[in-house]
Amino acid sequence: MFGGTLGIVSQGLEILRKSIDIRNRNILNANNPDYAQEDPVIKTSVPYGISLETIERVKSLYYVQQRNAQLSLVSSLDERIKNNTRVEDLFQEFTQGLGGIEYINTFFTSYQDLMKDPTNEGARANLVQSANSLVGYLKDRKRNLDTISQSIDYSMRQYVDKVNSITKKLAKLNQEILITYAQTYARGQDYKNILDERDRLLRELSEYINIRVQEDDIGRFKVETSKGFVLVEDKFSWELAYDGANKRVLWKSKDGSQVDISGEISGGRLKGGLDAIADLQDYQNRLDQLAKKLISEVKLPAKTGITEYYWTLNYANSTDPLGISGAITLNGSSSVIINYTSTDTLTDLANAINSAGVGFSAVVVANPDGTYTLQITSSNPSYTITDSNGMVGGRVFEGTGIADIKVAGDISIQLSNLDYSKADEFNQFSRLWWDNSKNIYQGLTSAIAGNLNSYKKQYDIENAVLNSLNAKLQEMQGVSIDKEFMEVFQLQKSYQALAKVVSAIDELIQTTLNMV
Amino acid sequence: MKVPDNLLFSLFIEQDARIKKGLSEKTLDVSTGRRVRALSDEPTATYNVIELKKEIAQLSQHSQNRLFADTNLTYVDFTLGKVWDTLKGLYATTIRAKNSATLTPDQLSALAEQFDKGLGHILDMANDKLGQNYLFGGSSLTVKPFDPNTLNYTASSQDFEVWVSENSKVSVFLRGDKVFGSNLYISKVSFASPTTSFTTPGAITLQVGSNAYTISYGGAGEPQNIQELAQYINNNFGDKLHAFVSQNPDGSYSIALAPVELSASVQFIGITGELSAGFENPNILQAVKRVKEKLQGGFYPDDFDLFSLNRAGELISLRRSEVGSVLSTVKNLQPTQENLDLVLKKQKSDLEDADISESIMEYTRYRIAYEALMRMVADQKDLTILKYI
Repeated sequence: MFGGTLGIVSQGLEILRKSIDIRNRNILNANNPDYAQEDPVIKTSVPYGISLETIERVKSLYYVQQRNAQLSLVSSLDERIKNNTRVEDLFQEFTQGLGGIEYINTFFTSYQDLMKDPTNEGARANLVQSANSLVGYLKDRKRNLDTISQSIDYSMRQYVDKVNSITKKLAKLNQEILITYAQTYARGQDYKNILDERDRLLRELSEYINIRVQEDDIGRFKVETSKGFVLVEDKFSWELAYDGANKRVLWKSKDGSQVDISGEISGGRLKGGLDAIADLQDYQNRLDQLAKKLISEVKLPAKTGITEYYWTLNYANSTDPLGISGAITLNGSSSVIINYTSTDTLTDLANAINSAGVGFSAVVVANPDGTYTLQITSSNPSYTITDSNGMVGGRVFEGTGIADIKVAGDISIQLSNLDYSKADEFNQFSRLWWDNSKNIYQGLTSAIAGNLNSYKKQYDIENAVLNSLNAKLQEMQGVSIDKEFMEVFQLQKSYQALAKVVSAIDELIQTTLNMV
Repeated sequence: MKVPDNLLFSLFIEQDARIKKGLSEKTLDVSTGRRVRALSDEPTATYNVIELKKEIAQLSQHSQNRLFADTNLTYVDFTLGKVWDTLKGLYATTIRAKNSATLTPDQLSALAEQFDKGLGHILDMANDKLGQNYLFGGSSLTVKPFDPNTLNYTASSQDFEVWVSENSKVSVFLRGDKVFGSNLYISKVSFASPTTSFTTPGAITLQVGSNAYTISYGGAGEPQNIQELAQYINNNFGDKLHAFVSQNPDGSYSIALAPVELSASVQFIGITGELSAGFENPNILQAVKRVKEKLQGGFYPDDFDLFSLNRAGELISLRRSEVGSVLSTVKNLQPTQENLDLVLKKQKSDLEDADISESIMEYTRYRIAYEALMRMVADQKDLTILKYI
């Protein structure tokens, strides 16, 4: 009779001890954000005493999924902000003398200074100096943007490695869940702490890529990213790869093929990185546009000494009318004046120059910025060319874009052979060129400023939502030490009460034995 | 309701980060004096600051151009003043010579020396340079305006202009042919005496201002020599034209014309007859040289010489007043540009500079909020039920 009672008491003590252990585990993990509070479910079954039916894990997969999706979005924004901030740091427009606009302004004020006093050697040297500084600035920024781009590539590779490492761990965990579930099936199914590790890894994975998780009854799961590209299923994981040359994220199929999923990723640092690459590309294009505009537009009123002259105005189409009437004077092997009217085109002018046969040839060419102009080549640098409207000049910058822009090699010769009588016309042209360059630069800085400002605002809002979801999760799954102490206190009392039954039985046995 | 410990901790971290961010921003505001420090702080301010920086730079360039124009035109005005002084001196000398009936050839030669010096002085000034640029060479800048031998103008026939504001430009190096040009006209054909009869009759069709006139000569009932022709012109067109008979340095005589109005010019539309070779239009230097050569030749200066020197002085004076008018406009631009500069800089400052007193208030507010947060967390942690067990 006593044996049966002792068995029931001993089982009760064991269950209470285990319950206290679970409560202790709760207390120990009070500050672990991924830990879900566990509650032992003790069932009383008369006359067999108590049994630990299961350990309830306080968790809502819905909120976890919501939180993870939000975390993906916030991480994506964070990554985008991080990279855009590095770009922003390059453009110190609010630090006097360091902004790109200062270089543009300095160049054009030097230009206008020269057009005010074209015989001044100091003004000539200053123009060359400021042109070199502007080119240097543009090239430095290009290099800086390239460096950031390379650094994003490096980060993307790291993120992809991290994703692959996490998915491997998750696949392994899927196996462990099954094994531990089987092992603990008869002993209260105390395997739920593995699920905390699972949740931690899923949260970590969400930081890098947006995921969707499906869970079965015992906690095994399938992880997919957008459009059903599976990352983890059962004990298998699928890897990602990053193609730096083409800026793509690839999903590796088990048959060895690779699928570009860049367009399908909608969250996480991988998405942020891809977005930052697109932002960076836009900034680089704008910088390139500025270089192309400078090469295409800025000219000096050179009249001799060089062999390559350009029509000062640029046209959107090669067949556009000149819009101006005047006369070009060619002093080559002989002297000729070519009159043109506002309805003539560049081609008409080229034909007239070519047929003049005085040592000049002309061809309509596309400028780097996509506009059209007339390139007039002199067969002898000593030949002279002038235009009544100042429509002929030499380029200050040469190249095809940001990659190879440089100050024209013949700029010193141009400066020594200026047509002073056209200085005020070129001064007037320079105002338009200045405005055009300023507008492109303004577009660049506005894009950086607008993007980053908008990302930061979006981040603040989305992060607040994330915090709210985290708080909700904490409310549900978090551990209150006060509550746990109360529970432990209660369990302790039960344990003490049950322990007293043992001593009472012991006394009863002693008394019975003494009576014998 | 259950309040998990980690929730409290998370809330604290979140609030702590928010307040610390605000605190550090305000600290930077106060320490740097800048409200906007990075592009993304305020995109509209970034856009406007870049726009203002460009406008300020352009304005600064216009100010420099204005200063350049001011300096140049002041020097042009000064130079023309000196030319005027010289011409007035030569005019006074010519009057004295004309009024004196007993000058010996040596005395006339000495006067010619004085004219030579005066002419040299005017030539120096007409060919004067400022930096690398000739003052009166127009847009050719580096081409010497007047040939020292012929006194012909050889430089550009257009002014060199600079932009002094968004919409206006001024001439800073003037074309010498205009500044030293005259409206004196001397017939190329000369006669042995003022009364030498015309052998071929003809007519002069000319335009003064907007009116055209035809003056016939040599025919019946028409002036028969240059003296009669001059008298005829003075009698019939005296309100428009002055006519003189003037002795040339070689002793011959020519008829000389000049519009009454100082700034007017005479356009010869057609000349037939003996005077068909036309009229010379000497510049001021050449007019002075003509008088000098006459004196060197031992000839007395005549009325036309006096008139031409006086007219030269008046024309220089007129040019000087035109320069003065431009100079005055240029000088008037200075306060406008300086004011605009201040306005633009203030606009820029309003956009990017911090309101320090407001920033300090904000800074204090964040500090108080931070201390309050610390106290709240401490109090919250102290509210454990376990204390009452």
